[in-house]
Amino acid sequence: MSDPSRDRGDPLERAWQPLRSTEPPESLYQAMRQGIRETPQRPGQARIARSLGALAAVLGVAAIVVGGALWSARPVGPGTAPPASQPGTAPPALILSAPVPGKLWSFKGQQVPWNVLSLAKGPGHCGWENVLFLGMNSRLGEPTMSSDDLMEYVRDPSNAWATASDRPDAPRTLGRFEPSVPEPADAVFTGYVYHDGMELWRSEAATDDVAFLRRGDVWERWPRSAEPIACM
Amino acid sequence: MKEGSLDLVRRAQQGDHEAFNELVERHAPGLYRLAVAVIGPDSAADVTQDTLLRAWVDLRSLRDPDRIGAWLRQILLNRCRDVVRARQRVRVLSLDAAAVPGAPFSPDPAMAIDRTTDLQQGLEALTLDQRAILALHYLADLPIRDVAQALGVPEGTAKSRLHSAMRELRRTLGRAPDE
Repeated sequence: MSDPSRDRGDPLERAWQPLRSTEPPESLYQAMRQGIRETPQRPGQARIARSLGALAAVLGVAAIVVGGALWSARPVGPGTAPPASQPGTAPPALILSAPVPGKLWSFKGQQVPWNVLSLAKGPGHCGWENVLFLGMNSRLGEPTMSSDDLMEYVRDPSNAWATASDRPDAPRTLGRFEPSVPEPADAVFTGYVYHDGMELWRSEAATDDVAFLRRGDVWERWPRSAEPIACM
Repeated sequence: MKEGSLDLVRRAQQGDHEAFNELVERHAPGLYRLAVAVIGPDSAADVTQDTLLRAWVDLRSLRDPDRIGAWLRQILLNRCRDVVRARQRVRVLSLDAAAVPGAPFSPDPAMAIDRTTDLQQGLEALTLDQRAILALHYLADLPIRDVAQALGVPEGTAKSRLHSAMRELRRTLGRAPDE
């Protein structure tokens, strides 16, 4: 595999030797074990079994998985689903970043899966690392299995994402992020609480164009993304 | 007999935690060393952990499980660039670091690596891309062809960049250039 033309006697080669014996800290492995326990994988296409025997096993497993999926896909939460989207509203956007391990939402004290409600930072290579994306199913409480069901709300205090001027196809939001607004008169608590105590609220008047995030006496207004988000 | 990586990846793609933990055991050391060389010891563990977690989340998008190593290195290098951009925005200054475009290392006495080695001092003066190409070739032991693929450049470009980075590193280490 390695380049046979390299001179192993070169002092520059030997200079790398101390680094070659460096090991990561044990805490990294512990954090990974916890992280993958708490973080679900994105759904993807399963490999198609090639042999009949494997196909039969896959079908058998699929029956179990489908049954399990029907069970786990039951709505998590009360009847707080947002009003149905109006015809002609923009399609949902995509979740771009993985959530941070251990930092999940809960409903009535019980943690909910990441694909029910998630909060993630934008990708740094597009300059969106200070933008937060709140992802949920259009029927809040149900797991999101595809981008067709996904709605995302955006916390973008510096307008890094909303007005990316070097991208002619920059996505927009339905309204602006506002860091401090009065409590909406018709605010309804959804029951979802983030690990640090932040609460998710909705407003009947604002429909599903806006999500309100409350921390103590501070109310933030997060607009919904208007277009699919793509970051290359 | 040790399970092959291909089987581990396939099992992990089905959500098998133990299989992915085994992949972490196999790949974390190499990724960590690459991160130390490219971005410095302070952020190496965080960047490595972030890389592996992103890999877990997106593992089912990996169509060629044979390429797991290259795929992980790509994620890690992209993450290193994110960190560098964030550092440049925040403009964190360290007494021991020079303001170079590649973002300086900051000293961490808790790290086991001897920071007074010539190599660390030499790497600090290079850009991120120069460190990356040197680390991929010297640390990850990749041939030029694979280095080029990891960086997304033609092989000829990778060769000339590698020679240029080597020349620069030798210069900062006080050694005479090869040519």
